[in-house]
Amino acid sequence: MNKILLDSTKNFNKEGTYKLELDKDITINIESDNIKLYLVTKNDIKINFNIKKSVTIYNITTNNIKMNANIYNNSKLDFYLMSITDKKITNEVNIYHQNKETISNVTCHGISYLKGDLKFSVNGYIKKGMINSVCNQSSRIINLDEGKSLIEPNLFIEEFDSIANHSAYTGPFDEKLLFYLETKGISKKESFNLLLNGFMKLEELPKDYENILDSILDKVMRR
Amino acid sequence: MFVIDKLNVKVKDSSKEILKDFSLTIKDGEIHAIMGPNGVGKSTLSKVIMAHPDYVINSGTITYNEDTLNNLTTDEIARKGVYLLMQDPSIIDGVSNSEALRTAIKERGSDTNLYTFITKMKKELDSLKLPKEVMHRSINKGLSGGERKKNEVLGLKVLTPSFIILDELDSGLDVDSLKVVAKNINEYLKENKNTSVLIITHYSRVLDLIKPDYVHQMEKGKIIKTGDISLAKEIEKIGYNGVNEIEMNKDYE
Repeated sequence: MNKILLDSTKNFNKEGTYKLELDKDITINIESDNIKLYLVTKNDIKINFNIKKSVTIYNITTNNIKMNANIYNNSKLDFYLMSITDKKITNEVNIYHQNKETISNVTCHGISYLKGDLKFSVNGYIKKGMINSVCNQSSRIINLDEGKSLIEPNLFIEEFDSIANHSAYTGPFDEKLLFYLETKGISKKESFNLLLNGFMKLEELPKDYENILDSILDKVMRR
Repeated sequence: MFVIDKLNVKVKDSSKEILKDFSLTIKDGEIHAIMGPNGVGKSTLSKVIMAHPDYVINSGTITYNEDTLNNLTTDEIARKGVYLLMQDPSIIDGVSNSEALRTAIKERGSDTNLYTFITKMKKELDSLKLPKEVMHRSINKGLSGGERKKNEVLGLKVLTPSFIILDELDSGLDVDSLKVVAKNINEYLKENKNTSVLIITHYSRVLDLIKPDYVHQMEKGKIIKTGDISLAKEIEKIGYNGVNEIEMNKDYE
C-alpha cells in the first residue's frame, strides 16, 4: 500500500491502479478511463469525486466518512464500500448524476460488531433531463454481538426516462448458510469466518489491499 | 452401522411432533430408501440426523459406528463420515467451492496439499460434466438446479463420506443430469463398498438408477411399511393411499 501525502485536490488523468491512504478531506478528479482506485480512509473525512471518465473505486474504512460523487459525460462509477466498526459511525454516500447517460453502481457492505452502531446513508440523485441514467444501490450490514445498524437507501429521481434500483439488508448471517457449511464438516467458527471473508471481499482485491482488510477482519474473528 | 432407535422429535419452541418412535437400522454397505408423501417428515429426518438447530430430540438415539450422534454438533457429525446431499443446496456468495472444500478437508485433519486437491477437483468436475471454473466460483452461484446437485456430489466425492443421505436427489434435475449424478454416486459406492446410503424420495425413478436394498414407506413421522424395490413400484403405480388401502383390506380379510 502506497502512503501518499495528498493535497486537498488530486487529479487522476492516466489509466492505472492507484492505492491511497486518506486521512483528511480531499477532492479527487477522475479524468481518464480505466482507473481503479483502492482507498483506505483513516479518519473521519469527506471525499468529493468529480467523475468525468468511468472508474472503479474501492474504499475500506472503520471511520465516519462522507462521500460525494458527481458523475459527468456518460461516465460510469462502480463504487464498493467495505466498512467494519465496533463504534458508532455513519458512512454517507451521495451520488449526483450530473449529465445524461451516466451510470452508478454502489455496493456497501458493513460489519457492526461488539457495541458497534453502523449507519449507511446512501443517496442517489437523478435530476430532470438526465435521461438514460442508471442509479443502482445495494447495501448490506451484518450485525454481530450487540452490534446495531441502520441503512437509509434513498433514490431522488426526477427523470422518468431513467433506471434506479436499491436493495438493503441488515441482520445476522443466514443460519441456513452456516448449517450448509457445517454439514460439510466445517466448524461453526470456521464457517462463520468463511462467510465473513466472503461477505466483505466483494471483488478480487490486490494482495496488499486485501491484507489491510484481513488485518481488520482479524480483529473481528479474534474478538 | 447406522441405527436410529425410537426417535421422537419436535420442532423447536413448538409442540409439533415430527418424528414419533422412528426406528431404522442401516448396515454398512446397504442402500435404504424412504418414500412418502409431502409433510410426513422425510426431509426433517435428514436434518435431524445432521443436528439442525430447528429440531429437538425428546427421546431416542441416533448412533453411527458406536458414536451417539444426538449430542454432537452438525460439523462433528459430518466429520464422523455422514454427508447430507441437500434437496435445495444453498448459494453462498463470496465463498468459493475450493475454499469451502479445502477448509472441510483441513478440519478433518487430512492432506490439504494444493496440487493433490486441485487434481482431484479437476477429475471429479470432469466426471460430473461441470465446468472447471466451478471450482473457484462462489458456492452454487449462477448454477442451475441440476448443476447445484452435481456440485453437491462433487463435495461428496472430495470429502469421501461413509454414510450418505440423498434428500430428494431428483428434484431440479433433468433426466440426463440425473443419470450423470447417479452414475457418479454408483461409481463412488463401487469404490467404497462399505458406504451406506439413505435415499429420501417421492418417486421411484431415482431408485431405478441407485438400486436400494430396502424401501420404507413413511407416514405421520414413522415407518409404516418395509419392502424391496417392488414396494416403490407399487407406490408409483397406485399412490401412497392406494398402498395403504390394499394393506388395510388385507388386514381385514
